Amino acid sequence: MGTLKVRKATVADAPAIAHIAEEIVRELGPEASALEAPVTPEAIARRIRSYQGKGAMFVAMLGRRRIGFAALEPASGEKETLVLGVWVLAPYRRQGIGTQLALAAIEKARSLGAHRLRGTIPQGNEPALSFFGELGALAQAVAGGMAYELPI
Amino acid sequence: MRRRAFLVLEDGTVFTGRPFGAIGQAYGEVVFSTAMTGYQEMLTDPSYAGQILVLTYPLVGNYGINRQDVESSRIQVRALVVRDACSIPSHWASEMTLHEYLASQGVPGLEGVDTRALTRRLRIHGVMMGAIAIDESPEEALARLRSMPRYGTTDLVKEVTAKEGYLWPEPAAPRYHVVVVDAGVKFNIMRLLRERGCRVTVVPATTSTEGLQTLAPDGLLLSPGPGDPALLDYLVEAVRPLLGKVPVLGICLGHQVIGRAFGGRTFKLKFGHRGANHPVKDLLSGRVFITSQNHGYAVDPEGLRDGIQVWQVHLNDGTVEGLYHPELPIITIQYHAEASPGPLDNTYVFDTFLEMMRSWKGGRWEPLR
Repeated sequence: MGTLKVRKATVADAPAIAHIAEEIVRELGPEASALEAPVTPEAIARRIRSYQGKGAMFVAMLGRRRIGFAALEPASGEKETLVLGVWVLAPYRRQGIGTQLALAAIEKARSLGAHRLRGTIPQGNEPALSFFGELGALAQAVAGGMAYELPI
Repeated sequence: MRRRAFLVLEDGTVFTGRPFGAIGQAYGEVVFSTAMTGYQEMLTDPSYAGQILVLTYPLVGNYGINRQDVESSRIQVRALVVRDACSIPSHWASEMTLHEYLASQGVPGLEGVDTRALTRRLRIHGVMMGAIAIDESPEEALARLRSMPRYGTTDLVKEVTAKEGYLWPEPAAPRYHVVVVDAGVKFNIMRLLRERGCRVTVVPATTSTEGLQTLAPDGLLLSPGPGDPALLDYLVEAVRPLLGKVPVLGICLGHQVIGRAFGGRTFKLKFGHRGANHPVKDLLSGRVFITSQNHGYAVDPEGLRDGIQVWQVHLNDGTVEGLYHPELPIITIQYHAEASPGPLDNTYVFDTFLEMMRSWKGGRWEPLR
């Protein structure tokens, strides 16, 4: 199995992250996964480059295999707020890997001066609702799904 | 893996948890109590009818459920929300777990909830309606909740009051006959009256003035109960003609009814007073008492007429916690002198009531000073 390691993602991780995203879109569909298909390595690489110190992507590795990622991105028009999404491949869920990714992202968000994380939880994705709830986020039903807010 | 369940508030906020007790849906006004013990008394307190009770103390159920600590014949809350429900209770009197108790009466529970965040939400935004959702999405539960009647729009007293009058087991040598108007009475009120030598007749809240007079009480006690006192015109009108003719003690909802009978208005508190350590000041003696409370409405002192005076106030927010009449045998308290749960520091109110009955009966009645 190897040991779990969570680290900041680089452009070199883009193909593996795109592969994880494709797997999850295939499993849940684009809406329930909150991933816009198609998620290509080029799109991921562009995203990582676009952060320019105002966000970050993190990747979870089990041995040499990348099994999950988190994206921390600036929220448009909101000060001190970042948007966080976390995705883990199905066989590796409920093992604390998503929590490790989220904690790394939260630490980075704090270092960027953020006081709040936001995100969306697609309709019907109850495991995601529980996941963010257990992190301490307050979830609210909004039109077409759920939104969460996590003070940090 | 255990099923997931949710508490959905009417503002759309969703709290995740794990179901325990009866598996099912529920809706009601979501309120919180800060009492650290006494969950069995709270569950069976009729004043919680129509409400989903959140306990802020994180560990609940650790001394189990026994036969003695019930305050009515059944669980009254619509659902219970806790951080951690203990499944291995330890107490000599315990006969079942909290889970078994809720399940036996078809009442859903939700554990694993971030009750601090939930309480903070209710404190900031005020109490609101909520729904326990299981096997449905939070969005579906929210839609269901919005189609349900709101707390405060239905007369919950008629749901919890005794269907017909009954006599509480008599003491060996009864000294006084007290008629308790049951708007949602707790058993401990009758226990404390009996301990003090009172024969107690409990009557439905819909009993007429004539019905009350026929019983020839030495004292009349208007009980606590659930819901909005503004809906209880029938009770106000039944009691009004008896004020000044027989010693009266009003507790909680009974206090509000008497406040209304003296022209007062009641209003809804933002998040209510529910707990076992609320400080109340007696304005006549200057003493401060720690009280047990469970109320979501209060009497507005503006508009009180015909000589009724504010007797006690809450030290946290200054709201009225008691009334007295300087010329008539009438006292009221907004809190629960009978405790259950909470401190028994205020059972002196029952002694004061007895003293009122004694002196009124003897024709040497002296007002409260």
